[in-house]
Amino acid sequence: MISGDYIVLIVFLLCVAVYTVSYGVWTWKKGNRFGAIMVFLVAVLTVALPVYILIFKEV
Amino acid sequence: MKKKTIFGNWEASAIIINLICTKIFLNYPRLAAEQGGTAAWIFTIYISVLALVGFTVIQALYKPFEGKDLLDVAELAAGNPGRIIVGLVIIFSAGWCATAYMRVFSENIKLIALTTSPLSFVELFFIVCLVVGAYLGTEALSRLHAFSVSFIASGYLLIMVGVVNYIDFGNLLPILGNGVNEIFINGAPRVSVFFEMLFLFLLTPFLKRHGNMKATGYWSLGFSIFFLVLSALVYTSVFPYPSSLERTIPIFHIARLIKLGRFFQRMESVFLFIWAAAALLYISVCFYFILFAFQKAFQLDYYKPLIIPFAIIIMAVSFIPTDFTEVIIYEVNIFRNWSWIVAFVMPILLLIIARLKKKKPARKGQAA
Repeated sequence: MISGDYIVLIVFLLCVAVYTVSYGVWTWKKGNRFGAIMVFLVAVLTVALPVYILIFKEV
Repeated sequence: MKKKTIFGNWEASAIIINLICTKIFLNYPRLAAEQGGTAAWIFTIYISVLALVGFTVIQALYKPFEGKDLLDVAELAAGNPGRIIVGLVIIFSAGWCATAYMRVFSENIKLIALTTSPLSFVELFFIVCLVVGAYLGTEALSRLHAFSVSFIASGYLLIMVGVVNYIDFGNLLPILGNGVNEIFINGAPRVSVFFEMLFLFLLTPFLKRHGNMKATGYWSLGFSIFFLVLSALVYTSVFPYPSSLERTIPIFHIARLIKLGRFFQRMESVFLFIWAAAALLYISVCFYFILFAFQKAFQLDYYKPLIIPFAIIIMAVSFIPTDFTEVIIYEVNIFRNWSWIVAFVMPILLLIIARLKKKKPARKGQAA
C-alpha cells in the first residue's frame, strides 16, 4: 500500500514532467528537434529518478 | 532588445574564489594531509603552481576568443557535435559538484546540528536556495557573491587566527612528509582541486574583455591559493599527523578549539554560518552552470522552465550513494584525481584546435 505522501509526491513530479514536456513540444515546433528530445529526456528523468530512489533507497 | 549581463572583475573573482575554496570547509585539509602528510602545505603550494601554469597557458590561448565562452570555442573547434559533447561534459561535472557537495554538506549538518532530522528535509533547504538562485540569474548570484565572500573569508580568517595558541610548528616535521614521490608524482593529479577554474571560461561573455578574464583568473587563483595553503598549514600544525587523518570536518574541529578567555567560546557557531553560506553559494552557482550549459549545448531559448526538473534530478541523484563515505570515496579517489583533464586539458585542446581552424581559412585566402 503506497502512503499518501508518496502519492502527493508522484502527482507533483508528474505535473513538473508535463510542464517540461510542454516546453519540449514548444521547442520541437520551433524547429529544434534535438533540443526538444533532450528536454523530453529531462522530463522522463524527473519522474524516473525520484521513483527509483523512493523504491530502492532510504530518504 | 535583450539586455546583456556584464559584471565586474570582483564579482567574477568572488564566484571563482568561493567555488575553489568551499572545499576547505569540507575535506580539503584532510585530503592535503593524506597526500602530503606533514608536508600538506608544500603539496598545496605544488598543485597551486601547476594550476597557475595551466591557467597561464589557457588564458594565453584564449586571446583571439575574447567574449566567447568554452562552448562557443568548442563549436568553433568541432561544430555542433563539439559544442554538445563539451556541454555534456560540463553538465555532468557541474552536476557531480552540485550533488556531491549537497549530499556531503547535508550529512555534515545532520552530524553537527540537525541530528534527528531526515536527510531529505536538510537537503530541501539547499534545493530551495538553488532554485531561487537560478530564477534570479547570474547577475543576482554575482552580486550576492561580491557581498558574501568577504564575510565568509573574514570568518574563515577569524577561525585561523583564533587557534594561533594551538599551533605547534614541530607538527610540520618531517619537512617532506610522505616523501617526494607522494607529493610531486602521485600528488600531481590533485591539481583537480582547482577544477572549478573551468567555470571562469563560462563566465567570459559576462567579463567582455580578455584582460578582465585574465585579471579575474589570477586574482581568484591568488586568493584561493592563499586560503588553501593557510588551511593546510594551520590544520597540520594544530593536529599532528596521523591524527589529522581522523577528522571528518577539519575546520569544524579547528573552530571547536577556540577559547579566548571567558568571553569567546563555541566559535563553531561562526563556522556553521559561514560554512552553510559558502555551501549554498557553491551549489547555487554549480546548478546555474548546469542550466546554462544545457541551454547553450542544445540551443534552447530559455533555461527557466528546466529549473525545477533539474532541481528534482539533482536531489534524486544526491540520494543514490548509499552513505556519506561512498560520496567521499568518489569525490577524493575519482573526481579529485581525474577532473584536471576536464578543467585544463580539454580547454587547451579546444583552444588549439579552434586556433588552427581560424588560421586555415586565412591561409586559404592568402594562397588564392
